[in-house]
Amino acid sequence: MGKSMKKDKRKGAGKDGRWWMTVAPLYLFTIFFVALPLLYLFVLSFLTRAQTWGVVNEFTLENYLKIGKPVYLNTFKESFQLAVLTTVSTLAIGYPFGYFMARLSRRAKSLMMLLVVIPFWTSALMRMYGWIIIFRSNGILDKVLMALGLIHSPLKLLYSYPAVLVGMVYSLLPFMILSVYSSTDKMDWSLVEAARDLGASRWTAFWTITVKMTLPGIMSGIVLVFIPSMGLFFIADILGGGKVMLVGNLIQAQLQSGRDWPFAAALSVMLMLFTSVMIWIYRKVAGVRELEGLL
Amino acid sequence: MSEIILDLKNIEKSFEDTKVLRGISLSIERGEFITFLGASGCGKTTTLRIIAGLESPDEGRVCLNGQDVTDLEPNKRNVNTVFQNYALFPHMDVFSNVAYGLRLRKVPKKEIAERVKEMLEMVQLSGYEKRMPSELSGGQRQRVAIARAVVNDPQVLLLDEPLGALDLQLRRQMQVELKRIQKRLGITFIYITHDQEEALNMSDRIVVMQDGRFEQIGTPDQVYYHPRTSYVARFVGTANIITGKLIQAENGVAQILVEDAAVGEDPVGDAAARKAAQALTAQVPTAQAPAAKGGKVSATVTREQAPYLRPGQPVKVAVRSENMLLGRDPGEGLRLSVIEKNFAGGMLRISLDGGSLGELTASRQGIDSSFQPGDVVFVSWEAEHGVIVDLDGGEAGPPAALQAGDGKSSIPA
Repeated sequence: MGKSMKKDKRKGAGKDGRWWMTVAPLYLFTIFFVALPLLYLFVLSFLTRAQTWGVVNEFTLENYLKIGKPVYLNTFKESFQLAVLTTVSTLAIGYPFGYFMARLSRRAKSLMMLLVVIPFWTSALMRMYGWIIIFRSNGILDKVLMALGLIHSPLKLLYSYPAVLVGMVYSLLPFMILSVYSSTDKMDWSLVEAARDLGASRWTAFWTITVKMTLPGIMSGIVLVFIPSMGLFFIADILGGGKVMLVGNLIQAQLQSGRDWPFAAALSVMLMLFTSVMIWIYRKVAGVRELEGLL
Repeated sequence: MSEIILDLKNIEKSFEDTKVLRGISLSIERGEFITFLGASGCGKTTTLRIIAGLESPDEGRVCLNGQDVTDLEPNKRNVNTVFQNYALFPHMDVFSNVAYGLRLRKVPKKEIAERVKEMLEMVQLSGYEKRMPSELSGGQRQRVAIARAVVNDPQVLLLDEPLGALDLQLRRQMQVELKRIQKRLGITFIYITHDQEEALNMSDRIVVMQDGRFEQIGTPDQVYYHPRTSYVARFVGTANIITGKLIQAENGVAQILVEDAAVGEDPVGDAAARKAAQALTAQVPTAQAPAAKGGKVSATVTREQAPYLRPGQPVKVAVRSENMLLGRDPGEGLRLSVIEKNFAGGMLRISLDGGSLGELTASRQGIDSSFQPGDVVFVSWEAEHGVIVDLDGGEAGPPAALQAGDGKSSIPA
């Protein structure tokens, strides 16, 4: 929807002083579907929960104070840990993948691109159920490993932290691959040759030139993976079996079963704040202004 | 004899099914400025990349300073390259770009600072240390690229069309500057260009390449005045190639009969040419003169060429356009007609219809001449200006002695 509106904007750009009419839909869309809901969320987080259902218009800081409780703080901590672990894992797998993808012939490249994108054609939820079949006791993974004689009893992977991690990495890997690929594909390989010519070993040339040149792709990949991995709740639900509680799960629980909308809103605001601060720190530390197609 | 720094021995290279280098051999002396000259796709860049170690040859060896480096990684060779697109590291400032090689070799910081400073002074970029490559002009980037390579004190510096992206004026200026740098440092330069003027201007020796082979290796003088093949003659300065039959070769001068050269119906011209040819046969009874029709021209015969010349054999003569003499009086030489005149670059170019020889060109100082399109002219040249090219000794292939040029190159076994 947003895309078609951008198109309208370009098409209608004229000199007749009514240019604002052409951009108006874009602003209206942003105001109604992004800004106002956020504002609503923000206001909601300061209201009081009604006894039975809904909210009472009474200002309170109670919701934010509640987040300070160890049990909730711990959820933030665990979510952060998992998000970092997920991001590092996707980078470790996605960088080499995107790197070698960029060095393939043009036909092989588009084939690889297709293979990376194909999972998106199916619902993410359905694909998580697929992992249940693989992970469950005496499931595909156990059977294969036992047949190979690597293990002797089922691993009991389903409903565990590793299962959630695998699910996260699996779901978010394409974002990392595509981000890295978009910058390695643009890479000027003659720079690597120049470095080699000046005395750099393959390894040194990779670290001093290739990594530096593809940093924007790495950065945007990290951001694209880190943000959703803080909030994805259904993976922890399906593969964690309720044993793994993330911020996303907490918010969902408060909203649905807990019916505490103001608290859920406060958690959401905190989550947004937290991710924003993380990205801000990260950009400061990495010192890169430009993220590949992002921010 | 001075020291050989780089030895290429019978290098062959193919990319997929395309043969790019067909067994080239060359010895380069220390401190030499040698230029590989050729059109794009002739294999000159591949040769350079093989020397740098960025490409490995299918056959043959590369010896640097007496050591076989064929299988050595590029970072293990004391050779540096100035890349065609400069390949400056865009994320590093000028100082870091130039210091890159020194830092890798763990040169002390103080020394790095000194050497980089000195280098930037030499390329006249002092004070640009903190600039990023994107903030520099083409000429400045070029000089950073040179400084970055030269600062490592390489035994051989490879330059891949380093001036290709610059405008004409800057190019001329940089040619002088490069030559100055080379003289001052005494580093061996291997320079690639497709610009014959650049090659003639800067080099100690020129290697003319075509289709993965060396057409000729020689000093600018040799290549310019004594092209060995019609390709060299055409490529290094616009030369006309005239095909004919050898009447005789004596005392360093060859008489050549050009058949079918005469165009038009002028009986006087034909008769004159025939008379000339007949007169010649009469004078030199030993020569096996072919049926005399067409024009008679002359060319110089070098001592090496003499043994391969037999009367009656087909020969090609290269004549530079500025040496083509045009006249209105029937006489010896070729009878041609003027197609058009064109003034460019301070020279008047007169295109001539050469019949089966194709279009020939004569050039003159000044902006116009009395010859008009359609005029019949008689074309000749001094014997010293005609160079016999493509002398391939019949079916046995080119005589080795001729290919070898000045004797500095070694011949594939």
